[in-house]
Amino acid sequence: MYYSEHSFREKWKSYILTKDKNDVTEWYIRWSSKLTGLKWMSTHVLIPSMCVVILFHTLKTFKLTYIFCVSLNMQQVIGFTWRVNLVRFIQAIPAGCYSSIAMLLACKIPKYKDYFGVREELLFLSNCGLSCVITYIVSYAILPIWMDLFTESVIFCAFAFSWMSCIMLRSTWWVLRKYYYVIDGYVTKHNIKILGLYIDSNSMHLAASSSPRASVDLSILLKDIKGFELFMGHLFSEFASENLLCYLELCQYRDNIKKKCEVNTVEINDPHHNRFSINANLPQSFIVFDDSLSDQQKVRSLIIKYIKTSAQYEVNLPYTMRMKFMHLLTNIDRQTDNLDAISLSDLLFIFDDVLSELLRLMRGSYTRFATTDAYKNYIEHAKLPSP
Amino acid sequence: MGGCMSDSQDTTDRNVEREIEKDKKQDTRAHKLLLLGAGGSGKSTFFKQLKAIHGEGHNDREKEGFKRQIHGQVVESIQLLIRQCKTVTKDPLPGIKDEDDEPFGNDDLDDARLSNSLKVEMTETEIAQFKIAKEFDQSCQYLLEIHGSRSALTEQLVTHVKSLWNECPAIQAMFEHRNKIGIPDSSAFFFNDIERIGRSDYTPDHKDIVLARYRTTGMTEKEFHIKDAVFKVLDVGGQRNERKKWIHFFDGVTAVLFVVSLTCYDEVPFEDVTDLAADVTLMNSMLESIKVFEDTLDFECFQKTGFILFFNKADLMQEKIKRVPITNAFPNYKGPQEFKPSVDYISKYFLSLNRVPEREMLLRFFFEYVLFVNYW
Repeated sequence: MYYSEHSFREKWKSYILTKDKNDVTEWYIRWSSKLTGLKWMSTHVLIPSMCVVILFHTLKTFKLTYIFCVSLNMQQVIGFTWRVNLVRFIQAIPAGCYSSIAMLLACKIPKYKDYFGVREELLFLSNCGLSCVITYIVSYAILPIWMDLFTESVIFCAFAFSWMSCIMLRSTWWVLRKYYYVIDGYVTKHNIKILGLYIDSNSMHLAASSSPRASVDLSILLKDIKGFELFMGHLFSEFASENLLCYLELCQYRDNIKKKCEVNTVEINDPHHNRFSINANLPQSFIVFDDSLSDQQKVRSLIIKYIKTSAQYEVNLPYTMRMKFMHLLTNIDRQTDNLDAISLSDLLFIFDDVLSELLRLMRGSYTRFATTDAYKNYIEHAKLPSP
Repeated sequence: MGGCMSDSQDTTDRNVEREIEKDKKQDTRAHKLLLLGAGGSGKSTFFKQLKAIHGEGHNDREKEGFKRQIHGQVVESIQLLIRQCKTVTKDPLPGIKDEDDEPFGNDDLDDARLSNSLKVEMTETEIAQFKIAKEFDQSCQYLLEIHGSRSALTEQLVTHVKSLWNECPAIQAMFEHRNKIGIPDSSAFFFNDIERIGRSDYTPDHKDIVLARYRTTGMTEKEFHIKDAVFKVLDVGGQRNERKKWIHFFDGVTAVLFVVSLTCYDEVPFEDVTDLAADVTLMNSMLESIKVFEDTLDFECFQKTGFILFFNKADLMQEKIKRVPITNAFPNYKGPQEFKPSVDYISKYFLSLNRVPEREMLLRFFFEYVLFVNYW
């Protein structure tokens, strides 16, 4: 079976966006050493590409390429010996193109967007491919003038590696599409789903024993969309994503109510100022932005989704805090007007304790996240507001 | 790089997952050890110990994180102590109005719970000991106004905490009841060392890191090379919602390290009451621990897995046993109220829960946080 990818980027958004509980399946990212494994690479990449090369070679033996050249009327342009060599040159062209395209992309890719170290891998591969192509041309197109057919074939097979590397480069490019802005836009526009990528987690968990000089407060990191997504990815790998999902939705809820307060000119005294603000471009919660729900119903849905005991995305809150919300919930169910009596400004602050608690909970994960290369790259290249 | 198909069905996810699972199984050179146990039993503490002793220790960035955890713990603990004192003595909180609590009427559920459980056994005079003297009002107000997660310790804060902790008998008295209000034991250590912790150039040392208490969420794994063997230890959260995730780590486990806190037999569980009317005093963390242990033993995939039971916090248990008998959690216990027989009873009890005779069960005790190296 093909090692297809799956995008957690799409997946976690669905946790926020859908209303139907049964629509989302439990899903966690697992890192795999598969792509760096020799066995998997040889069965899935090297052997298939070898077959392609051999097929190509066989076709050539049947002079198919020769006929192609004849049809192009090349025979009259150049002499016989040179024609054969030209065919060989032509074969090297696609490989060269692949390499240079990959080089170009590799140089243009913003470093902090390269979450998994794709860039380095790509540079390595393109170097590899280029040297293969050169060796291929030298040993196959120039030297064989003094060689017999057998040696020629042997060398051809030996340098089939350049083709393999081309094929690998091609798949690298596929992966790149996910990370590269323009291509990313293209993909979204045409509704192509590019699924996730599994790369050995060791590269992510290498303890970067650097100084904490560039340490950024978590709430600031989360205001940046890229930082948010990176951290979400990390939380998925640690099985703690529900904290950030909850944080996101509660923040959106808070912003939403805050806007309402401003419209109704309700005076509010926000003790947290901008602490719990998040980027507006993140996926918008279905619950919060459903206008058919009253604010009370939104609170209810959010409690059911994240806070209630045995909730789907139950977060690890202290007992007392959870009980407070459970109490609130029973009051709603009893149709008492307990919630209705709450003014808009109180609704605004209803989840503040939870939000602080969530930040506290994620602190541990954040500390570990701060030791990853992905974080380091991000901090170096992202322009974050100073705390 | 993989061949990439852009087909997105849920079956694909499942297939991918299955494939990854297969890979993980092939990678069995390392012994996978799973740290399990109820919330607050000391899994992460154990993990931190391992990391300090057999791993490369904690780097600067991690220390920075622990510093924040410790500061947070200090502020939260002192706030909780003050608030509890105020509630028990029905002293109005000075100038503090919790915005979100007001409208619901039953805001102080936690406080009410405590005052009830305390009042049963307490007379008016005893309640009076929790009365914070007027002279501390300023400190209380200052401390309560801090928002817990902005936990940088300022000089002013340090002075306030210090005066409250050292000079106010009510706070000390309340701290004795920490088992009922969920204040970690290690807070006392941090309060005593508040000056050192509050210094601006403070970096937590090994002891501080091990003592820091916070709830773990999700999973952390780390490989340890001990002599020739490779151990991969997984640390997880122990609260109920975290336990739902345990199932994800279960395959290919060499041994389960189950951590039990010996002192939790009179502690009110942190969570886990589904019904508001339930009497929390009937439930304690030891029963909870036992339930979790039974559930873990019952898992299909653990039928042949070895279990190592760690009885943690034995040093604290030696103190506690003098005051509280273990009959809270083990009503059938008839022995003397002493450390040795009580611990024997508890460990036998846990062993008797194992219904698969061929399963290997080991017992280990930790006495104090530094000593356990000798027991490894």
